[in-house]
Amino acid sequence: MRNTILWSLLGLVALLMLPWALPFVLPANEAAFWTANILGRALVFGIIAMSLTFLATYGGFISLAQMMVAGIAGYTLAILVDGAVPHILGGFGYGAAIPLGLLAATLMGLLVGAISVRTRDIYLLMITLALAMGVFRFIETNIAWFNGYEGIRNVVGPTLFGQDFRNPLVFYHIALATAVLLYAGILYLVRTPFGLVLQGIRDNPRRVAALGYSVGLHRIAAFGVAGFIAGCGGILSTIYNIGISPGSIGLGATVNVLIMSVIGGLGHPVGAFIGSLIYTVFDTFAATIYDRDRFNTLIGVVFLAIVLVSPDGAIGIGARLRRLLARRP
Amino acid sequence: MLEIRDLHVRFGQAHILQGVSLSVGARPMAIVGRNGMGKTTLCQAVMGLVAVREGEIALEGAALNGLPPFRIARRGIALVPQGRRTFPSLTVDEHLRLVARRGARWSPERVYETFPRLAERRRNGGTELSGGEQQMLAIARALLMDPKLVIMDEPSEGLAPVIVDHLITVLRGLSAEGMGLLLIEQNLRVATEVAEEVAIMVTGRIAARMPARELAENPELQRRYLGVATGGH
Repeated sequence: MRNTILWSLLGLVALLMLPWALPFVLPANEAAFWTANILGRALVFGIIAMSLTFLATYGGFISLAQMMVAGIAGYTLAILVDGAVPHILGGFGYGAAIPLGLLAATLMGLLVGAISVRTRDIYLLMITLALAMGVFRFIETNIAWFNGYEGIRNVVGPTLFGQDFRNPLVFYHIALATAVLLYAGILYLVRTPFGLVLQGIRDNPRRVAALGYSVGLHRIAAFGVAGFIAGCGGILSTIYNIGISPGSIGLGATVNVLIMSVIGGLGHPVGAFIGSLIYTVFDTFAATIYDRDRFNTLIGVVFLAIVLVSPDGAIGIGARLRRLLARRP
Repeated sequence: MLEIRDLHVRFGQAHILQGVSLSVGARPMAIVGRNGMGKTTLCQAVMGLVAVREGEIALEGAALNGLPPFRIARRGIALVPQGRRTFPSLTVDEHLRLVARRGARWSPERVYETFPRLAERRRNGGTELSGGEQQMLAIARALLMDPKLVIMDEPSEGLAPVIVDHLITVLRGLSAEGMGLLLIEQNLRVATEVAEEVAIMVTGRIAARMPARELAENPELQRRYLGVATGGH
């Protein structure tokens, strides 16, 4: 137990120092690129993927609505904040617009949970996909509130302690801090009675009901928690992209989040970040490795390779290797 | 305490419970009967796990019909299901913390004192336990809910005789403390040694009700209702 904490702290320090270590192995301009465009982006996508992994790991619910829920946070921010183009509502600074965005995502998470509360397995997958696509189409065609196909631009993010939010170092550390807090929060939550009830629901919902817990309410609450997590990712990705457009919550983006979660592994929340890092590296370097247009082929092959070798994703590969090595004298 | 009046349950064409009437008082009661007579369905109907179309179920005068299972559990009925149904992915300790409530008569600490075997295995998963340990865990989980009445569906099923003896001691202790007990059993020895009264279920009805000792001492009755020549098996 103490060892785990020690290793986690060491890992955290290493992650914090990483941007300063990169210039030793990479040219200066590439180091900055890696900090924001690979590591920062992987953290942001990882947070959104972790909201899916949280539901899948502990509740056994696979939700395809998480990217849409993240988008709700992003759109709420873009609609409310001053300086966004086009001006839709405005009147709020980042200090107020970001919490309101998170609130909107949490409420949307609760709504998705409430609508899908009686479904499971493939039916849950389909109903969450339908919700995601419904919201996507609505946003894409609504000009008055969401500026339709074009989306909303110029969401540059706040200034923190005199530093630009989008400075690669600042953005990386904010994304890292958010990811670590949410990750630690999940690990704490699953040990509380609420988390135990959730795991009980995954194993046997009828038994949980007979123990005096409402399965439905706990499921909806879990979707609310996942909505908040996805919302944090949605806020960060909107600021990272300096705005938001319907494409970022479309079918492609929705499936990408699922691919990241599965590549990383649905057995533990850390899989979301491993999966998003693998995904982001291939996404960025597909052009150099093979051909820009062949990105989908490439990520598809990686996906197949990982899932065939280790059905529980990248986090399962380590355990598999250890077992293989242990078998040999 | 628990009052069941003219209870009917149907699964499609099958008429499983055909008008069960039963009242369970403070004294421990057992329901015995052969396989397929509707004993498990009766437990599930009381707990709200199967739909009840006709009849009434009331706990201390308050109707339970139509309530969802979690509300019935909160009214004070705990079910120890057949086959134990411990959670595969939770440890013993997590099972107990899942149901532990502040101010309840039973706490995880008291469970560990009563069942030292569980304390030794508190870090083990729910399916890494032996059958007897799983049964103790399922009973402990029910006790932590602070119930007025515990319904146990075949608690001795698949347990070694020495574990069954331990189970009988535990159940008698609970009953002596004033916990209401409704025991569904095929093992006549457990039923008659724990309960003071026995109801016999035949094809979805309560066919007879008698003091436990009478059934234990009367092979003729046992043969007629249960198809066994001597007590226990």
